[in-house]
Amino acid sequence: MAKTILEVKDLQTYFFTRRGVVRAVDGVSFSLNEGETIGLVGESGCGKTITSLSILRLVPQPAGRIQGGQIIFEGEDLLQKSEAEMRQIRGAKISMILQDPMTSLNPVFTIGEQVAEPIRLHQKLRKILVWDKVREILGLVKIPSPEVRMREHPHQMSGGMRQRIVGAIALSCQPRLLIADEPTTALDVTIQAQFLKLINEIQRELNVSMIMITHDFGIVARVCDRVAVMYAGRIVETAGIRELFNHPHHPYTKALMDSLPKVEKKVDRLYSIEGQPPDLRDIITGCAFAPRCPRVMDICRRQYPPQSTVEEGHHLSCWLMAGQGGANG
Amino acid sequence: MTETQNSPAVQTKGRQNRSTARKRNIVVRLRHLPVFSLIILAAVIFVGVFGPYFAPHDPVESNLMDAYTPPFESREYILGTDHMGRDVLSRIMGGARISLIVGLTVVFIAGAIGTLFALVSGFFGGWWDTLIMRLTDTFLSLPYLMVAIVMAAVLGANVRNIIIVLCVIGWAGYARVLRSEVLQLKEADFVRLAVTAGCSRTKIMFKHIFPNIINTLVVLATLQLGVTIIAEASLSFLGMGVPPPNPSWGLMLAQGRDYITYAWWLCVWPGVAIMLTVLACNLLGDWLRVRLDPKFRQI
Repeated sequence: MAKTILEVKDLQTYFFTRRGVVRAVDGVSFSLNEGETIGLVGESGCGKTITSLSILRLVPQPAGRIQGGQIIFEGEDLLQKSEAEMRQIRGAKISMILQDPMTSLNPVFTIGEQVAEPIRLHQKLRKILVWDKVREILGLVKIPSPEVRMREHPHQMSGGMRQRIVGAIALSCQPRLLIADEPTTALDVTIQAQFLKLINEIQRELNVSMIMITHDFGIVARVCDRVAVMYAGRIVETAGIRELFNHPHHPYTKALMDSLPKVEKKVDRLYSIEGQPPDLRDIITGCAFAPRCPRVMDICRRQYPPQSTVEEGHHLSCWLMAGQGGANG
Repeated sequence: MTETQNSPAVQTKGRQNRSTARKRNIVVRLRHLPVFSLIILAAVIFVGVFGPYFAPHDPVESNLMDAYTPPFESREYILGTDHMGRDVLSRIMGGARISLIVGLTVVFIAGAIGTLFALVSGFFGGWWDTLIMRLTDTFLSLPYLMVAIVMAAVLGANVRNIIIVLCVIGWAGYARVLRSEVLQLKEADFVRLAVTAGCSRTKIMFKHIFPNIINTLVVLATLQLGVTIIAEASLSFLGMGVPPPNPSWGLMLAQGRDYITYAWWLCVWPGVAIMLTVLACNLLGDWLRVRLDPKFRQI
């Protein structure tokens, strides 16, 4: 049994705006083992990014607030930590890769200085050792001739190379958890594949756990061990990667899969889910997906479905399954 | 060269090529320098620092016998003399020192205050932002001549008070322009990345945001240098700046104005000095604006 590195329990992150409370993350729970990758999948605005920012305690201030729940990282609740303690964790134990490599690097510093920064912040090393480390990490992310490249500025690099450097910054202190927020959205397809392969390799080498935030099932299939499908601030279904692709149970997961283009089935029009995701300012009674669900029942509109287990590691919240498989929530 | 030394010879040749390439690079860089600005400013600075040691005359020494000597007529007074027989060239050299002292001090102090306010205002936002920006609005709407007159009346007209007045007015411009840059940079991904890397807020402010506004700061400062030199001249012209008989370009203009019909050189030379210096500052600022863009550095 692998060690659990992160456990998120009933996380609630709300935004208090002038026009009401936005329940961006409303009771998200999941856990992550050492060296494992979990994919957070869902439409934009479903709370994927806010979940990850909550883990780092970087919810946009002053409107956002973590309202409840626990985030247990290496046995300690991050929500009980002080800001200074969190700074010790950010970049050293948990680090993040952002979406757009073109703007993630500071244009006035050389690559080397930027990779060195987290090392300097978190480890007391002698100058020469820092540069050795920078060189080593740039080699790890396969930057050709790191000795030369670390003296260059970001504008002298291509997008793919910059994203690898962002990866190098994230990995520079050998974190235990890496959060990648749509790291390949801004890259073209061939570079995407290359980058994902690289991330997988490094992950295995350093035994890092990873949260991969994406809306692309192709990426999920390639890098993740488990998937959590989010809708309107909640996780509606979570399962191992094979299980989810072979037997999706939740109508929303099925709808997402159906809206992917497939090679073997030629269709005139791709399937699209009717309607819009709900406004998270409204108080939603029952299942948030009910208004768009093709198999909606009366009870769906009245009460949120309890979590049921299809099999070991495959959970979902849907009334369709509530009768079968044994409810446990 | 013998054949046995073949391989070292090849190596030296490679090294030579590299050094000639470096030389060519330096030549290219030199060609792009704003020669005019640099010559003028170098001259002004040289004269401002060392002027008193080789000026042909004492700038305040009057010699009524030689009053109103036109320029280029006497070898002793190349640019002529004024109504009191003082050497115009020496006075312009002395004026350069005052212009420089006032200009550089004001640019430095006002720039520092303005930058600090811009960083705090833009980065921390909220109450700080409201407070500092309203303060900036107030100072930008102060008529500086009025302030200067009041200051001169209360504290007396001298170089120190000119510097204080111009600093009081000058910082607001920096604060306003730089704050908008800080606001933009605050939302930049690299700042968010620095936060996720565990940087503290103060560190982000000074280490990540400040270097990104230095370009604008330097350009603003060079332009401000010109504006300040003109402002000092205007204040001295109005009699609220450098007290006579000290040489100041503005004061020389003011005194020369009375004799302009028959001694044109009393106004023209200080006017030319002001114009050339300010023009040089502005051209340098313009060149720096392009040059400091990191995308331009590799060329």
